[in-house]
Amino acid sequence: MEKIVDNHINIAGLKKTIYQDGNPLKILDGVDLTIQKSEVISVLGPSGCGKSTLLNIIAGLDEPDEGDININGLDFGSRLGSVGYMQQKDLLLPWRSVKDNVILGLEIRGVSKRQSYEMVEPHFQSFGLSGFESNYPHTLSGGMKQRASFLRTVITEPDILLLDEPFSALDALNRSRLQMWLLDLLEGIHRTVLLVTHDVDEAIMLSDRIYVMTSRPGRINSVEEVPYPRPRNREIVNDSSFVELKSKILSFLWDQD
Amino acid sequence: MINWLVKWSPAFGIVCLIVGAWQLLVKIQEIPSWLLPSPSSVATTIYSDHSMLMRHTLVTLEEIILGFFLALVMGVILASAICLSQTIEKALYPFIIASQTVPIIVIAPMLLVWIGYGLAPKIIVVALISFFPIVVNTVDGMKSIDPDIQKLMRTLGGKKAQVFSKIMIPSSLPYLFSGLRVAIAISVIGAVIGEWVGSSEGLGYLMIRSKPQFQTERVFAAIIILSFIGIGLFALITYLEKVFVPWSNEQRN
Repeated sequence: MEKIVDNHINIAGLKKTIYQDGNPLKILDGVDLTIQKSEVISVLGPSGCGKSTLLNIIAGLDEPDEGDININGLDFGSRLGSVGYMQQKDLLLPWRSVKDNVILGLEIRGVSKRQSYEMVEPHFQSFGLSGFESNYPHTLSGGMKQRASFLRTVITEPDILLLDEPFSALDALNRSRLQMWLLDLLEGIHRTVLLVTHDVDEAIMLSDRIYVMTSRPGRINSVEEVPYPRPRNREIVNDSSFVELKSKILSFLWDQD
Repeated sequence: MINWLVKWSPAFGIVCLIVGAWQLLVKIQEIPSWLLPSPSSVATTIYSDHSMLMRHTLVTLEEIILGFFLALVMGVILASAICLSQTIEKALYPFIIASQTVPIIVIAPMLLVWIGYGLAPKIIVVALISFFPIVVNTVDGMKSIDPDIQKLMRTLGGKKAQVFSKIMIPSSLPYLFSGLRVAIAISVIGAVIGEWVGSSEGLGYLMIRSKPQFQTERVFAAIIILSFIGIGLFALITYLEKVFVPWSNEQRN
């Protein structure tokens, strides 16, 4: 095992129990997870396996009952504001234009409006939003909203990106388009990414390693390395090794029920 | 203009129907005008007494608008305090609700005793009656924010004050405007009650002065003007909502 400092995120023995109407409900039961710098990893699991709780803990919204969570070898200080967290819903504010939505994080940090606009301006093209900067969210397509939400998350340049099923609200065609777009984008920005999904294809396509979780209480059931070098293209889905890996992961998931 | 007429044609139809039936009833039954004046005699009164009616209308309008603004300011401040502090919420909300259970008709004469005649007690009556829907709606609006947006703000490093100014205030605006529409309608009632209790001018004053003099046409003229004030101010607020909260309708659709 590598030294802790080489890892970007190091999670060991994470446990979390919540109380529903006074009854304890064990959500996470000893989750171990290691992510290197600039690595993209996926967490796959049945619904209710505690994926969201895990993300909330990494983002700093919640604290574990037991276990360690180290980021950059440090286990102290608030993670809030330093980890980019993109939730399932686009959460664009309806009263703000696309441009003003995207600068929200910069605004919170006290960056001036003019400077914020200058910072986001060059990205509208690659995020497929140019020409729509002054539009209100309700006039955008689902894919555009998700990309705007993504730009809002990355513009503050967090070291770590947490993506919680970012494409689940989209139809199949838009989803695969956005997956390819994200694949290209991630190769350009070199960020440590933790992607939560229940789409096995998406996990294999985008990540370097896949953690499969058990159903509640959540534990890591298996860890699968994804063998494809980057840059990747869509064609890998036709590869026999892709199909093998997919069926292996699916069998882990199906064994849960 | 044509579109507007078509849109409101059902309302015009009802008005025409009621006015027509009323006119016919008064004519056929030969009802004396002190008991029930015909629409035509009310219209004649509005025309012939228009400068006197205008003077009283302006007084009442001033009371309504000032009282309404006081209610708006008070309402938004109270709602903000309630949403920012649970202690304040627990301390104040019961009294805000209690203030509405005491009939305004009981409070109004006391205000007269305490503050005297003049504009001030009327403004207070208007404000007291109309701040309630503003507070309740604004609190609901501020509390209706999506918990996921709260999470988003926290992960972006947002402080409580930033959540309040950047999220809670804008998301409460559609609710605030719903409250304002209710408030403006009842603030007309507030002004009239304030005048009934003690005043020397205004449409409410005109009504109680004209009634014992059997000038029932004037009572009706005042009622009609008050309805138009209510409808006009309501429409104005709806228009302002479209200007200031353009996203509100899109969101609801």
